[in-house]
Amino acid sequence: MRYVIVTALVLAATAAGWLSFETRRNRLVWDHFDVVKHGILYRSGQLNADQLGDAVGQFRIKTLVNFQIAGPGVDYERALCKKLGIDFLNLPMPGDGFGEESQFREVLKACDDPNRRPVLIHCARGTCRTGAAVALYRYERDGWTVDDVAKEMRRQSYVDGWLPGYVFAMSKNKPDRDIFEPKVALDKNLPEPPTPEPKREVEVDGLPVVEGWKKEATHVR
Amino acid sequence: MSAESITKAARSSLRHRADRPETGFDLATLAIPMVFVAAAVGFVIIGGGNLELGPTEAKLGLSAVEPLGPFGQSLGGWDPGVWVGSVIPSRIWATASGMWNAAIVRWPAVIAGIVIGLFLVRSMRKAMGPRSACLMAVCWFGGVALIDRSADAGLDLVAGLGTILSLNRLLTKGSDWVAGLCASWAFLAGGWPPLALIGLAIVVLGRSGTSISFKMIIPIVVTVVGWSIWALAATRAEVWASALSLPLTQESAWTLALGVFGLGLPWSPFALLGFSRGIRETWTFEGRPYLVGWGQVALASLIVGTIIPGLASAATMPALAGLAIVAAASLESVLSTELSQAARGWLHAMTLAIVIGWTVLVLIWGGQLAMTVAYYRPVAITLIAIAIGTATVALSSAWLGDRRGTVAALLLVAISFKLAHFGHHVPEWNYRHSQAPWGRAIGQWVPQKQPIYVLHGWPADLVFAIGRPVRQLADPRLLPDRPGPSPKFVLLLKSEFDHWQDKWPKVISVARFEDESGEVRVLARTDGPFSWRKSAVEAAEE
Repeated sequence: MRYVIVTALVLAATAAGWLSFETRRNRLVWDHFDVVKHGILYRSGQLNADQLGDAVGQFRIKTLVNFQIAGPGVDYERALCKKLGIDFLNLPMPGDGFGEESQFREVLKACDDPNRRPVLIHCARGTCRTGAAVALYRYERDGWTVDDVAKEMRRQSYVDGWLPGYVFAMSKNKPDRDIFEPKVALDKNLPEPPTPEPKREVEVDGLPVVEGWKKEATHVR
Repeated sequence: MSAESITKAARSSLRHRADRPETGFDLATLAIPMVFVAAAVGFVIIGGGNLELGPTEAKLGLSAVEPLGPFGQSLGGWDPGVWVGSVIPSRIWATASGMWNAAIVRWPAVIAGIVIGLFLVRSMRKAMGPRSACLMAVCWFGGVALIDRSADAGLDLVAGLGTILSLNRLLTKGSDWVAGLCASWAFLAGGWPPLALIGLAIVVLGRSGTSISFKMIIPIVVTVVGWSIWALAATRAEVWASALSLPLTQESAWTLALGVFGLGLPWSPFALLGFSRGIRETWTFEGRPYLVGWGQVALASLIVGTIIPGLASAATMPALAGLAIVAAASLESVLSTELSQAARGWLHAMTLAIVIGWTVLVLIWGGQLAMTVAYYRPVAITLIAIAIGTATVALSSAWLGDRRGTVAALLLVAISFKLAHFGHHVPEWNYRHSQAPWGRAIGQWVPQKQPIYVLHGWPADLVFAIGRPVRQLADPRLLPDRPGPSPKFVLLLKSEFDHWQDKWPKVISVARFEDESGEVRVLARTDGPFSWRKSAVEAAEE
């Protein structure tokens, strides 16, 4: 019995080690792959060529969006998309997901165009940059609350907490714009500061100058 | 011989038995509340309000935030499928907490489940002793039914509270006014099907102490008549009649027994041990009528709930209770007596089937989950570790013939069920399947308590998640005449908004939302200034 248990433990440890290694190399599973909305938007981390080909075939992806900085990886993916016959969109931005609004809006444009969707967006891990793009989609198209978008980002391993608010600031689809007009309402209740009397002009040496002006000693050589 | 005299005789026999002395206080007695609290907290109370509402529960939630009536209400009209008794606890919770979320439906169900458990454990202690009471707590709280509690799985704990307590009273004290009051509550919360089921149980039990008595029947008659007068006074006779006839429109539930068996896992298979004469003979003399009675009630409930349309919902809870009681008693027998060869084989075969089945499922599904979704990785790894430990315990117990180890393995499976439910099912349901984020998206555009009008029905779970009163209009021209502040908000499909007719009150788009399939909904409002802003400006001008 003891030998059986030891053998089972060794086998289990070996299997767990192999699975962990293969998973880290993205060879077993599609890293952080998830369906945002069927037929419209999908998300993932970096997939290898085989996985990308499978994803494109399985979900009929028409546009692939890569948020990573241009380099050999991006070039390879661009060539792969050409071979697969789908659009490739590179929107390079920092790894923390703090991209430009115009970049995220390119994703929305692709999602809105029936000829360009379904869209698969990805970065390196599928958490920050991809999460920020999905967040804008949720705010703009689905109208989700900040809480629900933040929950969705946490579900995809985003723990820092800044991006939902950062992206929300970009959204044009915000509640209360209509209800709380005017946007700035200032009630002036502070006492008015004393107004200085206007300076009068006087003549000094036949020239007009402001009262209180002191003639400096000038040395002309 | 009346039920009271039987009970007195049973008590006196308990008092004078040499093998069970009345010591007043012992460790076993102390263990009951400890196990009860641990099981209730661990399996039911932790995460009790987290699961977002499905379509069935959402109707109850909508009724809970409306004025109380003989029926529930949704979209501003009566909903004859929702009974006042099931609404009252949620209404109280909503009023006390001031919230409008899933908790107002979930927590009353949690409390109802705990109250049922309390009475069953108490009765079980009297019937079979302290250890069986502890097993009862574990079998009741540690089953899938009490872990999940959702109405979409066919569970109605608030109505089931009345039915189960009434049946339990019948089996312990006989037919009296308390049983009648409990049955009355079951009627108020679930309509006539629970009453039909209690009546059927009385026929099946066929004992002198459990027959229908005037004491039992009077509260029921008073409740039915009183409720009917209230219903007919508050609304039209058609609503009253449709509430009573609604269960008859349902179809036979041919999978009821399978569903109840699944909801009772991992303990329900052990109720089958109750069919063994050898096991039944180990039950105490005083407790046997109670245990056999509950077994009969469970079987009868399953049979009539399956065949007779409309009784499935009412039959689920008593069937579950009966299964849990018989399973607990059978496990008590397993632990306390020497089993026959067949019973021992059956015990280990069932345990291994449950444990190995669960372990294989966890290894495949949990492994996949751990690799793909980082968010669920800790839960998946924990489940895998527990599953491997459980399989080891179950296998070694079967090998060594250790019956305590067998029960421990089942307890580990129950803990794994809870962990999987809490750590995966609830967040996954809330994110992937519930309407809550889509409803909250709409609700955040409308001031608190201001109604949203609709022109047709919307899914109840979406309407509840909006968090604002939703009213259905018969005609769009009625929109400006509705009471309350202006402008009026109206939720439309995109096609409705695009084809809004000129002769109808002018509306302007406030926001657009895509649903999960990409279809567009439009929240619009009547044209014109906000009434609160207008009044504020007028006040400032004055």
